[in-house]
Amino acid sequence: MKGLLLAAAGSLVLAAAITVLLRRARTERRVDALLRVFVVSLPVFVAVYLFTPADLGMLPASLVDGRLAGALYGVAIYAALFLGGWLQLYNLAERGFSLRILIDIDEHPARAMTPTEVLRGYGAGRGIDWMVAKRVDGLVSEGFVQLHAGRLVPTSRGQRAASLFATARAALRLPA
Amino acid sequence: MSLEPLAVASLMALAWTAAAIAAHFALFGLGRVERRSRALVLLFVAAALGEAVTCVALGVDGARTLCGMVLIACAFILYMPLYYTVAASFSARMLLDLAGAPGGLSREALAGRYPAAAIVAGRLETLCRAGYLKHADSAVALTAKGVVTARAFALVKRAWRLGAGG
Repeated sequence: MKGLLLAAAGSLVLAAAITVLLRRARTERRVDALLRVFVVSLPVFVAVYLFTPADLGMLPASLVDGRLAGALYGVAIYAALFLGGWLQLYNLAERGFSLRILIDIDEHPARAMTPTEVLRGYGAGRGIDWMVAKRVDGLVSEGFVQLHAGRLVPTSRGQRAASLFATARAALRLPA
Repeated sequence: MSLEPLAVASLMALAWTAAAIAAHFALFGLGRVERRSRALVLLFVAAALGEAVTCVALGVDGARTLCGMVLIACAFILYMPLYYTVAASFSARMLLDLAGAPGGLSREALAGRYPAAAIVAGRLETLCRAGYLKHADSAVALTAKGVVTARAFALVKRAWRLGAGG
């Protein structure tokens, strides 16, 4: 139970650190910065786990776990809360296509938009073409695609990712 | 040697998570699933219930059983984004397009595969089906669920100073 409590508390501290970082820092590679904060925080989390009382000074004996099992469980929950929680929240808020459409409609004076208005007004007026260009730039900057003689070509990393996506899509019978 | 209750609950949670993912591939691969998100949520809910039943049967106490269920919830929040990257990400689809084109594609040719009007029409329809939008004459408007979602994320964007994004 100590692992769960520390993971929850640690995750809140991490959220505060992320908020300060995103509000203060002017970095282009924000996902990398968030991941660095998480990686740096991991040994701190483990140290806090190891150097605090097994019962945290308040848990009944029946809720005290073994040191190894408790620490591994705590790290698993702490990592999941960051990778599946805060990092995904950031990705959705920063890149979510559907969410951007919902926000655009909510901020429109009529609180409703035609498909043409959505098309032109996407991303606070940047339009859908900007969104497509942003995705292409992202694939290049993340090393999945390189520009070769004026053509976009997958790198070996991109080929591996594409192969994985194709296999998963076929197995799940996802429509093209 | 007997394992302590938290270790038993955690191992059972891993097993039930693996079962939920296997069932996801089996269900989607073998049958036609209309409401895919709901089906995936139900599979993980079933895994959490399976965890509870197994832990009770193995004599694990309530607190550790809850810990196991939390672990399954964490697996769910990790698995869902992975699934949506494979299923719906534009970047993933672009990568597949490029990998399937010998010699790659020019930027214009790639962009040409994503006609803006079709992209928007498709996504608006998906959002209507999911209950975030409703048709209002020739326009679309937010439902109550859509308003809550839009404002919650607008708040996050302001708090983290993310700009327009999208």
